[in-house]
Amino acid sequence: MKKIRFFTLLVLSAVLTVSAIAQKKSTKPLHYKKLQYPKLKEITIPEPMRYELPNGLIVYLLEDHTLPTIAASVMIHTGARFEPAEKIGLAGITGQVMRTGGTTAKTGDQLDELLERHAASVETFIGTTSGGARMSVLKEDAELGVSTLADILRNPAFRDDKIELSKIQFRSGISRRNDQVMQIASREFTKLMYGGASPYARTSEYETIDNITKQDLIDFHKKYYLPNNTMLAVWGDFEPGAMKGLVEKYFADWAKGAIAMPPVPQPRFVGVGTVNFIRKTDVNQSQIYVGEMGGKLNDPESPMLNLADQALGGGFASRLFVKVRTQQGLAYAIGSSWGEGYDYNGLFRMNGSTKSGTTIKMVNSIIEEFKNIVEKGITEDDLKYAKESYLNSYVFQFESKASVINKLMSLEFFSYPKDYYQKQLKEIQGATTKAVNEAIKKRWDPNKLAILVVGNDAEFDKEMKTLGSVRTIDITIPAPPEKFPDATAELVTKGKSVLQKTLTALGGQKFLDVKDLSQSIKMNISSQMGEMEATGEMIAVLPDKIFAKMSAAFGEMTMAWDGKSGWMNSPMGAQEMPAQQSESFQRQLTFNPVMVLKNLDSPAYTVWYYKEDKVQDRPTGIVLVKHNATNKTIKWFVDNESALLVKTASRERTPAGLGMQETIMDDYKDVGGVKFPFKLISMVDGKKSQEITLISMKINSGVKEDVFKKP
Amino acid sequence: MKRLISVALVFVLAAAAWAQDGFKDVEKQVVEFNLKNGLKFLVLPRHEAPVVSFHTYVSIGAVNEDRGITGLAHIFEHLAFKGTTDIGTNEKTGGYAKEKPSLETLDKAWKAFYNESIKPKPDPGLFAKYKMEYDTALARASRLNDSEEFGRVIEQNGGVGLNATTGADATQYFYSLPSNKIELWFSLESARFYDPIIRDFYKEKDVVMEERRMRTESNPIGKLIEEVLAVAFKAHPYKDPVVGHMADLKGITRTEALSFYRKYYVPENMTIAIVGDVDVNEVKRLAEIYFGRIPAGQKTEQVRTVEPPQIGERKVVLHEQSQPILLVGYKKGSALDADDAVYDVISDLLSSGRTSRLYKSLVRDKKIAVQAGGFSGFPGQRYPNLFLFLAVPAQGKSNDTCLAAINDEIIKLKTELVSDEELKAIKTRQRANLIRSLGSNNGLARQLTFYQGLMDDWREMFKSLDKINAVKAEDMKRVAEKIFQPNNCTIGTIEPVKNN
Repeated sequence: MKKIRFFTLLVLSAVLTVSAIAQKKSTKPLHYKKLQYPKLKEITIPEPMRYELPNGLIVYLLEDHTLPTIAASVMIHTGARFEPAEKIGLAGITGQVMRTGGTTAKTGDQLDELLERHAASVETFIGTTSGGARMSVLKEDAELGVSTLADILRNPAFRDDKIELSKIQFRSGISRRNDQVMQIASREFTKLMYGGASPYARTSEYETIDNITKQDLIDFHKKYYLPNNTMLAVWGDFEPGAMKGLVEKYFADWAKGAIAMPPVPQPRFVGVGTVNFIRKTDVNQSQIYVGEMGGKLNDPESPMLNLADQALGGGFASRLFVKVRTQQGLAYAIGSSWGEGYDYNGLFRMNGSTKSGTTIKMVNSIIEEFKNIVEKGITEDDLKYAKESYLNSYVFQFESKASVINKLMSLEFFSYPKDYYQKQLKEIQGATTKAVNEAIKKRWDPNKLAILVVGNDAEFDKEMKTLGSVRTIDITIPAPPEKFPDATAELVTKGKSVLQKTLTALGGQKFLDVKDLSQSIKMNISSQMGEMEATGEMIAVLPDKIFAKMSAAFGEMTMAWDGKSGWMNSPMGAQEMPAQQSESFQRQLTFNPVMVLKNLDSPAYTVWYYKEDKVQDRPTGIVLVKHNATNKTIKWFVDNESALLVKTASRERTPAGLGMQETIMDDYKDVGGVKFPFKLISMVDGKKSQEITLISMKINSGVKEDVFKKP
Repeated sequence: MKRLISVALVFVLAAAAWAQDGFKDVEKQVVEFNLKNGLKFLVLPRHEAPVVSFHTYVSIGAVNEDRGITGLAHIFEHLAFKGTTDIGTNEKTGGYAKEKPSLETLDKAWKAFYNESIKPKPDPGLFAKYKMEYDTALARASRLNDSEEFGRVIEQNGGVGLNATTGADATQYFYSLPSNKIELWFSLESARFYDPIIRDFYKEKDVVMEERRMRTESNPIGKLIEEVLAVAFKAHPYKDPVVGHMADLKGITRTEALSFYRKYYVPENMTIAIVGDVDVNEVKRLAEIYFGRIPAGQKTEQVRTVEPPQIGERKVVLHEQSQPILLVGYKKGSALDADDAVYDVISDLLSSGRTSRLYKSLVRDKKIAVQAGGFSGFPGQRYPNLFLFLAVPAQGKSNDTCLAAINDEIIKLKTELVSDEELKAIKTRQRANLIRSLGSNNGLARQLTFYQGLMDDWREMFKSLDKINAVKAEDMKRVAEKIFQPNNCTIGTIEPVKNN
């Protein structure tokens, strides 16, 4: 095995080991301050063999003969951050069922029997930023391990019974997610910081699990699991030649393919500066999170901020530990973590727990320590503590072969330089309080702290509002989606007959002749930030173009969808139309009553009757309208008496994840012989989100299509 | 987060098995020696990396607490991080000479405040006066110490994994250092048990009370475990929570903590393992110098109280804002019981992996649970304890459904012989578990002290595989018939109530 000298550590020990030469052996017990230490032995860190198969699979091998075992790990460029918003859980379920659902050759149960009989394990999973696999076998089972690992990665069968089993696990996880207060706090802090729909915060729901099909798993696997998108590391008790042969035998004929990686989503930090509360009445201790935007592992400030974090809340002698725990006895758990991602910004958090009666005191204590370190900086003592803790324990980072090979593979996986850790070490060796404090000033801001408290506010020492304007977060688990009846011939006939009456009520043929509409509107928008008024214009040209302009206190915003792409101009500048907005526009066009009623008999839509219901105390009938190309269904509530469409309802993406979007249509007026609602009230999950009042409306005025072009 | 102790839902898997084939090397490399005062050292040199792990096992746990001082073994574990006369005191304010009287003043102030506060109707005037005096004394004592010095020194010298745990049977202290700092460990570890100063006592009790709130009072599963133990045991101290009852935590005095230390923290109750890049002779030399100074004491005897045979099924139901959870416990013998290996094999058969019987039945086939298992050795193993089944029902499924399925598996164990193939697979896995457990220095140090502390012989670590290999299908049936009896059963459940 090739070994390289770990030169940086030699430098380090030379710097830190004073009087190493003059060391004398002690003959009586000495106080630690009087101890002299010999120089730390030269460290060799093993260098794994790295090579690439012709199909693009990157392989790391490292011999280790200490135990008669062999282990492997695999990394694949994929991740839950790439799964569609309406199928959250797809990546996780794919990662599980790859293994449990067996391969084309063996069922999952057969794999279980085979592996466990040999005390072997092969497991697969998909996390937020990567997919992976782990293998562990006794030396004599090397071929069993490698062949099974390859078979699972290459030929998963995704059998239905194990998809169902995995869905049960996910649904049970959802049902249990509010049982533990610590789990609530950690999840909800992430959600409030990144936004509930962020790929780094979102959680699966009953509905998103229901939406996942076997074909989705097959497609997700097919898209990412390619040899040229994969890295394999094997370490343990083998001869390199033999292991190379095994890898060759089971991976070389894996055909490479074209990789289409979606762009890595970059998070926004929507929660900065907010104060948030979640009520939990069955606890006597509050969970507290305070934090802001974190960083990336390769930020220039990363080494300095890691030192700052160690001094702030990293260990026994850190400021938070000493001030909050040791000196005030407020908490058992308290600490901080400067969160860093490889390719996206993590979350910086300070968190801990304290009895209900000292909740606000503890929040204020944490904020005070943070302000203190930002305003006054760290001291020489802080730096000595943080720096020496890091440098003297550096040797443990490369203690095992597994940690060496996995660290190297991760660096390459995320396109980091191979000498990342050595460079970081060097920077930390050279760190000064000045450098650390400059990094702190640059990246930490007490005005941006977000606060989350989960607890029983009936017992708090002070009211939450003493911390600022409080947002209360509702963590009620959304019920599973409604199950609709099948579109039987009978229900289709009934649905069509209801909508025929609606068409008549709206103006009959004249309504179907509508080609374009121009509206001048007034809007009231309600959000967590409060109420906002706006005025605007909406222009639509059927079947596929829409334009909107809005003026409000923040300035003017225009946006348009031209049937293929969308754009948006706001005081923040010009940009592509966000996916959620373009989805909303396309939905408005697809489910525009003109389009639907014109196509009642076309295969583009299926309409069928569902059941009676009431809207604002008036009896209505619900007709389901399904757009077959997108498989999307919306409920239309038709007034029994007037036959007018008085409400629509559907599950939609909202800033907080999937939600029930309802729009009530009211105040129908005649425009050129056609009836249109002049008041539209929208609600998300039962809460009013906006109210639109039409000031004027024109139809078929011959809209110039320039308006949709990107300016 | 530091100093986590294992009072939460940690099922200590009993006596993980150890193979003999191919591991005689390891066994031969372990060097054992005793100091004159009775302290036992186990040293295993491994020179792969310049690091070393230390593990101190004290055969004293929550079972050694008397009525009124539950939680003290654990509190003392916290206090053992607070230093000595010359570590943890504030040298700038005059060191321990100045600090000592402040501690005595604080004890008196606290006592007056405590006595008033536990009265049925505290006098508001006196209460306020005593509280003020207590707060003042507390602030003064704080100024005169530097109580995180001990931990800081270890961290600053590159110590990792610094922590300690308290269980029902034992208290354990451990960390790892770069191997050129071995003497630092000797200096600090011997000092903390030779010359401990109990400082920050009252604030550390507050910290421990927060720990109790976190693990037990604000955690549905933590509550359930505490209740199940309270019901399953009626006499033996396994019935009391390791973290202690709240009223005891509030009332325990510094004097009681000191007496507990003096009585139990004697060399005869301690075993130390050192695994890593060390020279055995140097370890022996330093052990004499640093630990030889601790005076000999009296090895603690077994707890007198023996849990009487259970004569009826016991049940506790918690109505919580939580999804259902099921625990089912059956009394069984201690780690020294002749059938100890049989319990381990039964546990493996029921719980290990996707081919285990409980997984196959409850999770895979019936789809009524998302997790199911049966574990031997709760809450400790030194005394007769529980074989504990756990089931986490799947969404919409009930504890009763899971209980019925567990009972079916129990009936199978009692009426059918396990197949040769199943038994062989278990033995293969136990051997592999042993091999894999030899990988880490700290894991080895922990296991060596564990077997020495519990079985009085670290070689049991290697012998236990022989015992596992000797287990026959008939043994499993016999043991199942013996312990899985309705009158020997305790059931604990969480049943959901609607959230507020």
